[in-house]
Amino acid sequence: MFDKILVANRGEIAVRVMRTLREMGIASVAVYSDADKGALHVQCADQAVHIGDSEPASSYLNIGKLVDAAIETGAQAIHPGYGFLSENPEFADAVTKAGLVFIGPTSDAMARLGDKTNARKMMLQSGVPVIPGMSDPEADPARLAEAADKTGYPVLVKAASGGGGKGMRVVEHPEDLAKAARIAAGEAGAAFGNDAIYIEKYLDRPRHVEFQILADHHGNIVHLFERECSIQRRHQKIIEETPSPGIDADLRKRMGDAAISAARAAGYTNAGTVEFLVDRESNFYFLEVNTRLQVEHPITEMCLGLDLVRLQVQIAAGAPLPFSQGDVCPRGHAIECRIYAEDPVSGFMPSPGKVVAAGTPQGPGVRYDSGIFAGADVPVQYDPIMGKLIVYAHDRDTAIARMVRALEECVVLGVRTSIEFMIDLLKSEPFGHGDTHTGFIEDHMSGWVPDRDSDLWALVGDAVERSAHNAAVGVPKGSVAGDDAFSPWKRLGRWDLGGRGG
Amino acid sequence: MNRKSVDDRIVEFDATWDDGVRLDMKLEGGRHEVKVSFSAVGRHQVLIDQMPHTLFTARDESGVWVWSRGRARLVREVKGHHGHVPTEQPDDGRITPPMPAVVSAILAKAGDSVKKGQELVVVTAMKMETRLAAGRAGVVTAVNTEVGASVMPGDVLIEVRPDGEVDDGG
Repeated sequence: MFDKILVANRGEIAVRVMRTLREMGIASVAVYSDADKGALHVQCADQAVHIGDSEPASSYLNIGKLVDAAIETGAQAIHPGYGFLSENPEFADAVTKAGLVFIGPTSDAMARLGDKTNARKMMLQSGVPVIPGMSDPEADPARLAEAADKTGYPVLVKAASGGGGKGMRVVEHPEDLAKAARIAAGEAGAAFGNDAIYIEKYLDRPRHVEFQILADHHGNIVHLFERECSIQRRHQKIIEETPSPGIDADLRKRMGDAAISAARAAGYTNAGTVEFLVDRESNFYFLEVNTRLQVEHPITEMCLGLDLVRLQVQIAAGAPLPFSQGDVCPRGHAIECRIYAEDPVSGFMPSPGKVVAAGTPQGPGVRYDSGIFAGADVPVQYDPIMGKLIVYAHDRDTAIARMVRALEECVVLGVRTSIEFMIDLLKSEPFGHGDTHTGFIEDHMSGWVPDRDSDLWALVGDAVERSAHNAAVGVPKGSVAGDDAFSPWKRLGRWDLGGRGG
Repeated sequence: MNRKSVDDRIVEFDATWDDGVRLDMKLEGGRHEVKVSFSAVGRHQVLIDQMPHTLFTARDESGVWVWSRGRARLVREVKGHHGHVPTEQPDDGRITPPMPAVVSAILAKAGDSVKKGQELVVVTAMKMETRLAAGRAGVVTAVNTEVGASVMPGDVLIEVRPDGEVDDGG
């Protein structure tokens, strides 16, 4: 087993990995950029290495600096987290060539699966159903148009190497194809350094259902059941749950078998996720394999009583899987809500800034993996995820009520969040019925506005905060504090709520 | 009457403290009794018309943030007499980012004639790309930024003078 592991990531996922390392008695090394000097993951590590300025390219995406940091600190392995370099075969390769262990699949398996058109071909060969569409990337607009006509509109233009909704466009009408292809290729080039795109059939209102897989280096592969991640905005998940309310035991069995076939076909090792779309007729189609830990992995952990990071580390160290498929038996229901710094009122626009208050949801069945604290910066340079809130209960209805309760306790002030939006979504009738699909937010939440009945308590809170603040800084009763109360020495006359001195 | 903004709306109200724990609040024609039962830093127990509320509060440069059961509101002073909320931008040919961001591309230079809807600047915030387009046709008079610059809402990245408008020398 390893003595020391470098975590090549930041924020909540780095903190989450380090917690398991601490439990395993393995020392952790954090890396950080200029923007993250005061970040929580730096505080949680046993050792921290500054690797560059705030630009991702010179820090968290800089393979040379990360490998050097591991060697200098004597780490024997690197955990990549999710995002950044986690699905980059060159990184896995560089780590291995430096004599270190990459906690994830081999660079070859990653490369095979990372190229989406290649992955499609591989799945077709091993009998895993795929979405109708092109088998090879294409740059020629005429050929793209031809393929789109053949597939039938609406079509989805996708980056051949990509994920997270980047480089992806839905095209409803032929005349919009050329522009969508140009934008998708541009985004793909900027985000992944590869502007290859292809076209597949766009499925209307499918469910997104994925299977967690684990494979050791001794040929054992198991699946750890599904997660439904249909609640998405901008093609990115915000609420996930397990089990899926939309699949039955028979479909679950067939999809689980397909996930294992997919992993076997790719020569996969370590933890991964096979993503599928399930259409209205319960047909399922292979989407892609995420060759890393997913943001939503904790819901699987909750229902199975497992620690996936611990298993990843054990597999990377050469240990065989400690259980077989028959031993894996999920119980109850788990839901995750991602806590993003973003504003649901303005199209989920990122809302970077300084967190000025942060509360921790507590109580039965609640887990909060957070990367923030009061005073923490949410830097503009990185993904706006601040944390993930997970609940577990014996059934779905109880889990939903528990999540609403936990979100109400999940205080975040200073940046905008989707918390209020998610509370209203969870309480909505279609979600309660389990009628979830990837168009859920457009269909049911598009006219959403924050609760308008809040003016009274908001103004009371404002008045009480100003009053308490004035008491704390010694403003005598009967003097004023407006926004100028920031300067405690500035007193402007009579205290009145409009801040317009007397 | 006093005026403040609660998020994006202007609210008129009257509030009077009585003995430091009671607050008399008039809002939209209604009158409400507020009693502060307990107040710690950033955490307050209040009765509003006899109903208990736990309010979490914190302030920053933008105003006072208030939290009640999963709902957050930003309360701000309203500057000026008739209330436009400060985040709203008039379409006056000044291109500014909607959120703090980093400039990733500049697609026009001074002197260019641009069409309405033409993309002028690309900014990136937290991995999301936003393309800022001309709100009207005209001529680019100034480019005030560069690729890699950190920019804030209100920063004028590019200025566009509308077609036919005479430069007044100002």
